[in-house]
Amino acid sequence: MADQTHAPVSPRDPKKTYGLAELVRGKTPSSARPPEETVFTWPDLVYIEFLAMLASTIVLIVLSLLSGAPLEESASADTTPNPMKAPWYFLGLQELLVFFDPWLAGVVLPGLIIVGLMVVPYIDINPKGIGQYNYTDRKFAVWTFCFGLALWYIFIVVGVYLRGLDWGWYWPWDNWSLHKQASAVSLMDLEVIMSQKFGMAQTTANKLTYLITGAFYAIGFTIPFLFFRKFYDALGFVRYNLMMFFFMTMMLVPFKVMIRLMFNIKYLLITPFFKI
Amino acid sequence: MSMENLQIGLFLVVGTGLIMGVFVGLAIWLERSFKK
Repeated sequence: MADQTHAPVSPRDPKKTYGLAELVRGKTPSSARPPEETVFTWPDLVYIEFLAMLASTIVLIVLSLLSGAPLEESASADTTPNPMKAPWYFLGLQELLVFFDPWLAGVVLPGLIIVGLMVVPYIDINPKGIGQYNYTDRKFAVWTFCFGLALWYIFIVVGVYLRGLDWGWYWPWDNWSLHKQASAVSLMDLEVIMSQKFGMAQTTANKLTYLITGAFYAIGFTIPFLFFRKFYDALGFVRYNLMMFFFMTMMLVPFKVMIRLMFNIKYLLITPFFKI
Repeated sequence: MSMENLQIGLFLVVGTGLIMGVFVGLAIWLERSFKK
């Protein structure tokens, strides 16, 4: 029965097909905007997405009519193309193979990328910026994702435009038909470098490389915990550790590229099961 | 560190920075465009 001072919450009306079932207090993932500042997914968003899909299809059809597919000569068992390049969308992976061993570059890292993307909705509990383009309230998420994306794209650019014969680095102004001489400096594993430089046994150096790799992750896990405590408190123990594991593994890629370029280190860590 | 490796390293750093700049700039621009 309606209260004298307040309108009924759910007025009875035989024509109405919906009503308020229950009101509970709790968190919601929905946007903080009031209903009058939102639009329905259907039809507003779906119509726009459908039109965008039509426009993309038309552009692709026109492009494909104007330029043929970049097919090479028919495959021949006698000649292998040099360099043997994967399609552009796999060149990021192929370029990773330069810096990591095949198990890591081909299976572990791509697998972690996919698992990491799947885990993001469970780790990202920031309630701000939902349902709208937002940068100010989501800077860490935007920067982290853009960094990962940029890493992937730069490897694709390198694989497409800067890799020539024998997977050597060719600048656009180099002579791409000439084989490049192998570098005079050969790559060595970190444990070999350490055992030679510091005169320690290789097994000791190998254990030290475990420590170094562990220190890389430990420093990464500890810094936000010590200096950005609010970040850790907001995420909680499990989410924080998951997030930092994926983040540090992503940072391992440019780290390893840089130490290879700077110190000619081939493998940072060699274990019986894999090499980093 | 050889000159060639230095050039490669610089290219990778600058290239990654540029691509990141494009995407972060896009994020900022999108936020500003759609903000009421």
